[in-house]
Amino acid sequence: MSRALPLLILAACADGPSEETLVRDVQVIAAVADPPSVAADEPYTLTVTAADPLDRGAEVLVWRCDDAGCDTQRGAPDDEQAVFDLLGGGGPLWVLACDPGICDLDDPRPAHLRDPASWMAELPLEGVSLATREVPVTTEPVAERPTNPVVVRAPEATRLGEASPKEPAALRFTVPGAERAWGYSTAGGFEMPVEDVDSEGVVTLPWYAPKEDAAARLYVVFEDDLGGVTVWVGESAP
Amino acid sequence: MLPLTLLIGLSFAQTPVGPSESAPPGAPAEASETAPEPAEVLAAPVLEVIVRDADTLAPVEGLSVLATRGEITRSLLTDAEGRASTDALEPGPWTVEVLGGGYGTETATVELVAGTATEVKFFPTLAVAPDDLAFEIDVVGKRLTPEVTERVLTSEEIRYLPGTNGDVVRAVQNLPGVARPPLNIGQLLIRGTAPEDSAYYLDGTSIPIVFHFAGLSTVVNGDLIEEVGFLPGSYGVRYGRTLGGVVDLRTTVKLPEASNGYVSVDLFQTTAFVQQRIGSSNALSFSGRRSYVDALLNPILNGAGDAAVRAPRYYDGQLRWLAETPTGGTFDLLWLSSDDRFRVVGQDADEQDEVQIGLTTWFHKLRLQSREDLGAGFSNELSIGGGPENQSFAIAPDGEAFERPFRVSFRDEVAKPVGSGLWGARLGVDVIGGSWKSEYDVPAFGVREVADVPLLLPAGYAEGTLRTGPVRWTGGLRGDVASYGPWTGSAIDPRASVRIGDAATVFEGSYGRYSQFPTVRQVEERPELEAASSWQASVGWEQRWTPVFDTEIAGYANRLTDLVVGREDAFRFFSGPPPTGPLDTGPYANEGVGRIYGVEAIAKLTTDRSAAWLAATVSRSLRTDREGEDEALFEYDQPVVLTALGTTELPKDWRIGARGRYGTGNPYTEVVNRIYDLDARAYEPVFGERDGARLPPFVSLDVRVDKAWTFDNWELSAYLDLQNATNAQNVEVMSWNFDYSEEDPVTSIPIVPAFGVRGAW
Repeated sequence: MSRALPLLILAACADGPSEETLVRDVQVIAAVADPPSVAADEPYTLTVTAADPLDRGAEVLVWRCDDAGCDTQRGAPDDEQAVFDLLGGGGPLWVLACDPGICDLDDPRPAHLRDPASWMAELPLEGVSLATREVPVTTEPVAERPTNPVVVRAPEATRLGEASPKEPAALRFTVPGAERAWGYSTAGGFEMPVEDVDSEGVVTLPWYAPKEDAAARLYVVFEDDLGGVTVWVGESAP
Repeated sequence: MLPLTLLIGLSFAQTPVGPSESAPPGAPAEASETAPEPAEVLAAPVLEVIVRDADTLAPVEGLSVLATRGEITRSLLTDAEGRASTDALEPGPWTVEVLGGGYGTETATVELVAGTATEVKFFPTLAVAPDDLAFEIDVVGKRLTPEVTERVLTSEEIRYLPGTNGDVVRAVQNLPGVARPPLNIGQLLIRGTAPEDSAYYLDGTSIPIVFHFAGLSTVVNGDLIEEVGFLPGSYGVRYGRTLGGVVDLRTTVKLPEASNGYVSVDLFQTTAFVQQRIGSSNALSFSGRRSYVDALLNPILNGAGDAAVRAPRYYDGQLRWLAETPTGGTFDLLWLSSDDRFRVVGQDADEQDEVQIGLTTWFHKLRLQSREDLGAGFSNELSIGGGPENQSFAIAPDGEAFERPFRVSFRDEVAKPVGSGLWGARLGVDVIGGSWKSEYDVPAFGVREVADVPLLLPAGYAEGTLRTGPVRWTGGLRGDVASYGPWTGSAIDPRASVRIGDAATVFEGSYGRYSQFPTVRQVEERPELEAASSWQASVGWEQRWTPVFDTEIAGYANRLTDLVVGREDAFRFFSGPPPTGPLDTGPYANEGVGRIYGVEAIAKLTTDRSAAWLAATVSRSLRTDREGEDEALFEYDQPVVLTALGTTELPKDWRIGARGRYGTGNPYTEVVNRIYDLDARAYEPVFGERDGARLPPFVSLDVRVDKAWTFDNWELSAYLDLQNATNAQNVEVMSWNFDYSEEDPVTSIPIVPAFGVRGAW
């Protein structure tokens, strides 16, 4: 640990886009529950954003297991978003996005659903993205629960055109109630993986354009501290 | 008992002087130096002479041996084994003369020290005229101890060892039985055990750490240390509470002949050392060291980012009063302090300076020791030492962890060495008391843990040795109790060994039990935990082929049971790279078992101007952490470790040396996929078969050049120690990129041109 620390410090201070923000393959970006916290057995909507930069038509499987078994739902994303109607309950919620033909989404093995790591151990790194999250369980009445944050102001599309591979464009958002903003991009990249949102809901994310003359799709995930999530998606022309 | 237990002697004043006028070429007398083995440490001065024919190495019987000191003369005859032994003698310089039988007269001068035994070997030649060669004896012979074979290297050899910066304990890392630690940091991985399974002692009193930060240097100046006892396993009952090896730093018990000292400056630190003789029976010594790695690194690190880095810096100091008592014993009082710090300072939300990452280790100890001859071959060694220790870690904004024990050690041992007699014995108590305070409150590692308990670890041990002809039988028993507040544990460890042979050929074997108590933290969480234990068996063969070439080979097998496993996800003060996984996050339990077996060998060539050795270890270390799990490789399992080194004097006070090392890479578990945690926005690895892969082999070369200039009243020396001279990029630790899609190994430190100068008077 002792020798690694200075190296980490040096690595963290490099200029340019952060490698962590670049999406090269299918990747689950977010799973937004609406409402963000639910009571047991309460219906809710889950919107999965699965980036598909290679445009292979990734499919999504969502499931949750309890003592009685595992409930699965399969969906084909429309413009990288798939919507599922689920019932509330504790425990981890799993979201698997796969390129066609890689994962057996039609008839997954129960053992794989209960131990997703064992399933991943049998799948390739490419073309597969497994994500997990826990939707907070609540007993509060619906009217008193917090809601997902909302993006009230986002940068114009022309703002993205101001970015170059060396000089980032400052993308300014206003999202009241959000605490953090995570940036992802299919080309180029954000300067930092995460930025704090100020008390007025304002955050600025520097974004670098790709070196090659290519289009990029940008995803910014805003989170609060109560399970609330919202996603902004933008496009940069070549 | 263990052929590969090595001892490193470290005193300028103690280099025995060989026959200056009469030694035939290639047949030097050898004097085995004093006191490394505990039983011998306590003995009154004893002289044992061994005479072997220089050509045939056969024992020479019937030669006259005269030991003379002033008006005192002892006359002896060598027996059928070529041996002649004295009873207790007066400390000081003695002249030993061997004559008769058609051999030329041989003479050597040796320094007998209170509480020690000294062995002198002569290799006379029939009817050979003496020549005028004068030489210094660098390597002395193996000591006749009932249980442990020891090898003595002079301080000169240590100082000039390539790749170690002349550090006394880092020299141990070159020996067989020691695996190479990742990043060459200050860990001793002894016989397939973890670093925390080995213990460090200063004159038999445990000390919390032996290396400064990152293993740059030992925490005690080597010039205060007479020898470093390295016991990789199967040691006697004097040592306990550990499953692995033991490193015992033993301070010199000799008064300096005259006042002397030095100042040295090298790439990492500046050292000042002074010892002043006061009257005929007292001496004061002082040593101080301060590293300045921070001064070198800080500008580089601080220029790379916003945070202000306070790179590793350490200092240590020792102050010692050593006195000879009227009865020939010694009394000494030693104060030692050590302090290591590393910090990264940044600014908090209010733009106030705050320590973002901080790591601090320090201890202060006062040690009193008395060694007295009780008469009739018995002697007594009493050590009392104690003081505060601290290890603390902080990470912004609110993570904190510390361990702050205050330990007092008490050891009293009465011993009679077997020497050349029929029997020997050892009886001792070894008590540690004090308090333990700790807190682990680092949010990323789980819930806060706090402990504040009294400590009491009493132990008693007894051991007897019987000589029947060339065979020495030793049996002993050690009983340990540990009490941490309401928790109490105990262990009974029987141990036995046998040693067969004479000075040239020795066979050894041993078998015994070793126990290690769980930590305070572990029993605070799981009071039902018990001591882990290890049954250790070993056999060995030592052979001196010629007066300058000898070999040792040892085989060993250890069976470990009741190892404490679990909670690998909890915060710990790592002395090396943290584990990469998969981690056992279950509760602590005595469920671990293990097997360790291997063969260690060393071949050593030593002449008056050169020293070279080849050390090899072939071993396997296996663990089963939980019942029902498959057996897997130990995380530091290194099946093959080879070290070859040599150093030689050249004309005009030049010296050159080199060290080559090869080691099998450590096992690691591959990451075969990953899972993205949307709540933490971080990837979690999916591991493949445990320890199913290995890091590439480690290969490295170090080269060292020294030059000395001698003036009327002082000497100036300089060196260049080119570490990793080929700039090999060895993989030290496996790491991965942020999403585990690619391996991102941590490679070894590039070429380091360590250099230094030293002025001594």
